[in-house]
Amino acid sequence: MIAPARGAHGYGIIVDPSLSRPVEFDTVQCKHCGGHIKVKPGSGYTVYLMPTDTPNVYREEMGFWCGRCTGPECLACHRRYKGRCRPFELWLDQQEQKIRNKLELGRFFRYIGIG
Amino acid sequence: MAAYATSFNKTGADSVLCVLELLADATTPRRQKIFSFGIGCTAASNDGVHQYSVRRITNSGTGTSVTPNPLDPADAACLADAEHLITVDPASYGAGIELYREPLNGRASWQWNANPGREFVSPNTASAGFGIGLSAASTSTYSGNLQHEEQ
Repeated sequence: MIAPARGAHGYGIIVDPSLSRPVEFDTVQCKHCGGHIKVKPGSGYTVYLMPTDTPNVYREEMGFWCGRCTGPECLACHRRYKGRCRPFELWLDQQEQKIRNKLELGRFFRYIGIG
Repeated sequence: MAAYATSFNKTGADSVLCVLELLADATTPRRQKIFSFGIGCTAASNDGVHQYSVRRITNSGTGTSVTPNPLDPADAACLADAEHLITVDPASYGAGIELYREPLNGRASWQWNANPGREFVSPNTASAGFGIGLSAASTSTYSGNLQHEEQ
């Protein structure tokens, strides 16, 4: 059994008969997309373990940290937002606001007799 | 917040990516928060690679409805819509934002749990949710379980 990462955001266990024992792992949550990333034990979130095409083989990548969110950022978000901060909670609110705006617009059109 | 458990399967020979979809209801959407899931291949043992993934989806595919059961019997019925035994993938699954991926041997199974406050969260907009499945279409058979909260 590996030592858990301090303050990990998620954890999992893989039971693979080809391995001598179950494998436990820790994950951290990306502050920008809400996804989870597997982290190297003992690295303090600084090394991500990225999946490869081979089971149980991971590529080590440098982890990213958003200083504004003060949390980890996944590689995909780092590429997508090029270092800019877009908090996950903001994205959720924006998605929900879009629907509220549509409803408001529908009500307005009905009010003025167009919808 | 009420929590629900859903067991799911893929038994057919359909070549699909998605094994389970969980979507906010179209008329009464709520935020869905996945805090635990597990999945494994139920086909005869093989050493192929199965890349399991969790993605965001925004529409439904074709499958069989499955009812998420409340973990506390006192809770109300789940408002979200879940489907398994998928025969046609949700159109949004292929390009959906991938939230997690785990490549495993065909003989392996796995379980993942989120710490409180660190769940996969979907917005409370109609038909927004998650697809749990594979990153490459498969004709194999799978089984698993999912626990989520509805806010």
